[in-house]
Amino acid sequence: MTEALHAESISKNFPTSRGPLEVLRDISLQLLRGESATVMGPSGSGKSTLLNILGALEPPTSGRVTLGGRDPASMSETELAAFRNRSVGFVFQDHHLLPQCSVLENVLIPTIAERKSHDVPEALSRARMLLDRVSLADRTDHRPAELSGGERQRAAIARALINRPTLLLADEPTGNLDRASAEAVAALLLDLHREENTILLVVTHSESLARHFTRCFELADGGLVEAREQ
Amino acid sequence: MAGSSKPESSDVRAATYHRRSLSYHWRTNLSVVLAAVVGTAALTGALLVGDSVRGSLREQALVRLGSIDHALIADRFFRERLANDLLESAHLQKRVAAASAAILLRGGVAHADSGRRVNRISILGVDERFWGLASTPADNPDWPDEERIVALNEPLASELSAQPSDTVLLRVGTPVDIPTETLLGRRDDTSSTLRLTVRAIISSDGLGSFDAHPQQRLPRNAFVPLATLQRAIGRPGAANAVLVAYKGADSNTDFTADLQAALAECLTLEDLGLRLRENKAHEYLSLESDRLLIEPPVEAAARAAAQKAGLRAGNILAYLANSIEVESTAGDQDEAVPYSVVAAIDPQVLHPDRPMRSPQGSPVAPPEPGRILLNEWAADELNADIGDRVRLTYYLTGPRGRLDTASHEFELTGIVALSGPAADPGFTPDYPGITDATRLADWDPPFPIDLSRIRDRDEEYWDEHRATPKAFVHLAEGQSLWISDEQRFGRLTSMRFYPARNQNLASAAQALRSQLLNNLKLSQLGLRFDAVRKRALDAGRGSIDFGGMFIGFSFFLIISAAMLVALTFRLGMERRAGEIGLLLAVGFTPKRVARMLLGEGAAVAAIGAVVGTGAGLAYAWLMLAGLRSWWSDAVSAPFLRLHAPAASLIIGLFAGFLIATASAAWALRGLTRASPRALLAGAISAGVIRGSARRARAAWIIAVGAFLAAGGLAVASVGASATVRAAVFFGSGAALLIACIAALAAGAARSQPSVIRPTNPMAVTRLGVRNASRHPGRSLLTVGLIASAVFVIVAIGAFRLKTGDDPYARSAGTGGFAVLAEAAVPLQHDLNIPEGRQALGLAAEDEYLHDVHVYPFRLRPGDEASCLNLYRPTAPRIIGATEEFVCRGGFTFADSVAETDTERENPWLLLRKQFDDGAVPVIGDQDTVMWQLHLGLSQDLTITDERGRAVPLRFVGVLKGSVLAGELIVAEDRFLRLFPSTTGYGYFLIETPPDGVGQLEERLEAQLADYGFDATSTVQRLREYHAIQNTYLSTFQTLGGLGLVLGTLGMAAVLLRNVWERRSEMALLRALGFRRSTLGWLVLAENGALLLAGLAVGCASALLAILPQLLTAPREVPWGSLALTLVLVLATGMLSGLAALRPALRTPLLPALRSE
Repeated sequence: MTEALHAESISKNFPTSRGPLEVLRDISLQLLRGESATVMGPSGSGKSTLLNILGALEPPTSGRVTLGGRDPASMSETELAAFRNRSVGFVFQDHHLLPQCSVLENVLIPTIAERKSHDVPEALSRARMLLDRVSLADRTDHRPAELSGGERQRAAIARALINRPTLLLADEPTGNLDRASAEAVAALLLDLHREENTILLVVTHSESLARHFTRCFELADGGLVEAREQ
Repeated sequence: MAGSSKPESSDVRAATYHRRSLSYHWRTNLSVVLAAVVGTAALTGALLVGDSVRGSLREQALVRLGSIDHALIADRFFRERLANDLLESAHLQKRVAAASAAILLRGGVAHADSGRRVNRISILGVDERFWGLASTPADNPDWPDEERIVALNEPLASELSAQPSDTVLLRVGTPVDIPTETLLGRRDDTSSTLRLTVRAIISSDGLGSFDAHPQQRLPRNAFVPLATLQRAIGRPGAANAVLVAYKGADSNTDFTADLQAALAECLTLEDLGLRLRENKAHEYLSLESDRLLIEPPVEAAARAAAQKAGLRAGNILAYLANSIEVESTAGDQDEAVPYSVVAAIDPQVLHPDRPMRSPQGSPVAPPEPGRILLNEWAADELNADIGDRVRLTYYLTGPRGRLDTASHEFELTGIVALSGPAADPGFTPDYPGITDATRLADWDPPFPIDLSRIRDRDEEYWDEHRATPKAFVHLAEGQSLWISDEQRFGRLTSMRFYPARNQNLASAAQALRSQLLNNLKLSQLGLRFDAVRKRALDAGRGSIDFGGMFIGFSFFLIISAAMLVALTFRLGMERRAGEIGLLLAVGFTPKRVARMLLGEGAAVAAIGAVVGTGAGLAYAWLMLAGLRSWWSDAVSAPFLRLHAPAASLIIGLFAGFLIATASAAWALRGLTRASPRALLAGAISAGVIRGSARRARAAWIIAVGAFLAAGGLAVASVGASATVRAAVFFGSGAALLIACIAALAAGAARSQPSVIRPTNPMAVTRLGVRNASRHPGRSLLTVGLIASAVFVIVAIGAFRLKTGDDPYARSAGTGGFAVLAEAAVPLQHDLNIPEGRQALGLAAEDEYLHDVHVYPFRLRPGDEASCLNLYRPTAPRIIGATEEFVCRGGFTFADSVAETDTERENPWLLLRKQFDDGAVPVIGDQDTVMWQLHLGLSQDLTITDERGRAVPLRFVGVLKGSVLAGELIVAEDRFLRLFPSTTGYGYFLIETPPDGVGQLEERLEAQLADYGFDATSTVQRLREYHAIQNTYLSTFQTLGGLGLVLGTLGMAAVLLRNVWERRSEMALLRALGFRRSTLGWLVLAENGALLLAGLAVGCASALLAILPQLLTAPREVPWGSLALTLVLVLATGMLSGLAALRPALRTPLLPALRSE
């Protein structure tokens, strides 16, 4: 399956003064293009670590992750960066918008990572479209500090989608939001996921949110169990 | 709506991101900019200080010379018209714009009313031609055609408190032709006094400060109309200097060769004090000199000229015998012939066809060694017969006016008739006061004669035969008896030339004159044009590279600034860890992110460098203002002005930019290598060192490596030049700092923290100290900043000099002498004996002279070589030490080439050393040799001696911190070979009980005012020298102080950052019941730990760096003032901690807790 996310027997240990601490153990999963899933579990269970590994932000201690048949572990630094840039979109709990840049500029940030190929008018047009889509068309010149929490997260979603990624990862995107904002953001994520036909994987504590996703995984004691599949 | 977006937001490119980042993080960037400004300013300022010192010296040198390019300044007099002749010379092809004849002499001046006196001044006899050489008409004083006037330059008028119309007494050294250290030299007529009216006070910004020897101290010049001075010294129409200005000459052009050729063309024998007399009666030519003795170069040239002209040359040395006696009558005064000329001759003196004959008419052979011929008058007077022993008694002159009587016996082998060649007064050259005396009793010789011994018969002989010799001896024997050093003043009183058989006397004279002038090497006679402008410009490059020195001493300031750049940039980047993590997460490569961040760093560095270059100008201006005022003891250079050449500004700008950018790059190391996850979480650098055995090992390796490097540098620098040694000092200092900081890091990494028990009263303090180890990188940089500043302050403080407890000890810098003095007119008499004192006008029994012993030195004037002169000495002053001084010893030698115990005990004996290559041993002060001459032990300084030869002076010893800093000392005998025409003594070291110093100075200056005698306390002079070094040290300690400011700023920044990062932790502690004061103590403990670590590292590095110097050359380290300085450093540092304390204690509790 060229458009699928495959994780095969991935484990992750962190070194400590008392020996390695195993956070993830022999985890495998597969998500197809168009599928959406949540990962739930208690704090410290390794949800974010799993997301980081799937998003190629850090390598697994063992095991293999591929997206569309491509293994980030076998890539050079430059290829890896391009992979993250083109294939993965990340939405963090803490939105990580650059405070010095406007909303539009924040959305466009990933487009300047690859200097050679990006088409400025096209990127600009897509950024505006996405901002319009996340209802921030009238806030393009605003700085992150001038936005509410929900607006910031919507801007972060637009940034994550600017390069049309195959894989959209969100790490507790509604964790810092009130219920209404959280629901709006979740609905937006899913809408955009469908519109962009991405693989969407969201880490959340919210069961109500999880219900909107096609698949739901639970992470406990280092292992991943699929709790529900529609 | 999107349509309302501003133009710049319609796109985002890297440049936009940079621009946004630069403005958004302006506070952080500002701190980086400020650090870069300091580094660039220190660097640019140091370069500009160097440029300004060089530029100011150059300007001053040029201003003082007006339009003068070349100068001929001789110790002999020639026609004043020579200057005009040079203007017309074919060799110069009218390229000379102006030439002025002048008289340059030394002397003293006193105000007629106030009695105020200034000794050792320059007296210039000039006319309107001299003022025509001024650069601007403003320099040209109104110079009326009055006879008894004088113009004083501003510094002299000021010191004398003289105003126009005041009357002054000018004491001028009167040059004499006949060397004072020969029998007929006049030792007592060496100065004369002129009573003159001050006509003008001349600005010192121009020819008023004319000085052929570049020095930053303004010369004291008195200008007298040329004719007035000529009359005063009895040399109408004469001059001893020609000053030349070329047309449109480049400042660096040297026309010396052209001028020398022109000089040779224009000079006459009379200009050289030579006379070629035609003796028609005896048909010979006689070459004589105004100096009485024919100088060796003239003798050689004359001999060669005679050979070329085909003339027979003979040599004569005429001498005065006090008595001629025959053995049988010896001791019987009545039978002695008094005051007779004796001629030492070689056989060629006599015409081959006209031998001397006996009264009976038979030829008498010229005298052989050990034999003597008497003329028949003397033989009759003495009843002498062939075979009798004839004794000659005569005076011999020694140094310091000593006059000894000696005698020698000869065998009488012939009596010559007082006719023909023997009846020739031409054997004796003219000598004013003797040969022109009407009667023998009217003689006016410069030595005592007993007129009662002169009989009527002697007067009759004088009437009839004048100075015709009464006896003849062999030339070589006469020379061995009467000439102590044939190469010094000469060995002949005349040379006699006989024409060839086909030549008449007139044509022979013409041929000889022409050949002689062709053969004479003028430079051997001290007639050398000096490219004064070029030399002044060369000297204006300065003896000390101030730029290099300031960069050296600013080194740690620049390093501190670089560390501050790194620290503040790093702190800023750590705050942006999430942003970096995001960029990596969205697909930026680590290299790209690093480049982007470095681009920001470079932009900030560029701003800092541009502003810093401007600040460098201000810094240089301030430093120069300091050197002109607060630190004027160091350079005494009120003329220093800011010079800012574009090259230095550009170098400073780019160097500052590169240093700041490199520091930013260093600060970024590892930042983009962290995992995006960690960066997004804000985790970046905590806990890097503690507990890491590998890092501890690496730190130890660095520590040991740096320590070994410091030691290696110190060993490698032994014997290197001063500049290299100074650079090595800072290099090894930096290595020691690195070693100590690495050792500290290693210790911190290895140590396992012990458990802090709540019951421990020091618990809070220990918690604070442990906080310092949470960010080891920050803490070590802070320690490095403080340590660098402390290093400079301690290391430089330890070099401060002070006059020892017993300044009059022989091993002290004074050498045990209480007074040093200089005379503008050399003293010809011995100040240690009653006769000498009397001859100099002192009362022999003066009480203040009891227990006084004077050590005189020969003095060759030249460039001041001590640190009092910023100009590079090109022809330094040289003094000749008497054997008495050499044997006395004294002073402390920093180093010498002594090989034997005797030499080690008294290294002055090394002045007697003989070198196979003809080098002359010389001793100088260590600082002078190192810093002014840029030489070291066993190295050579090549000088040009009086005969124009290049002679190497080889340093056989260097003195440690002595009053002889301005002099190079050679042995007297070697001195006289180098400068044979020097007579008398111009430099003096005087032993006297300390309580009599003031009176001695005052009395000697007053009583020897005719000689321009200038006395100074050695302790005072030593203090002046020490003040220079100490002032330099103060200057550089100020730079250390600036480094300390940077250090405390850095520490405050680190503490603020630490407190900001831990604000929630602080809030939590407050929520847990910690009092504000306890939290304050927590912050101050961290601050104190960093501060004390910096102090300890800085002190340890500094003490290790200066240890070799302390061990090899013990000095009194001012521990008290150093300790006080360090306490001040501690207090300042603790105050900076208070700055971090305020925000820590003012953070609102709940928001801080929420952020947790």
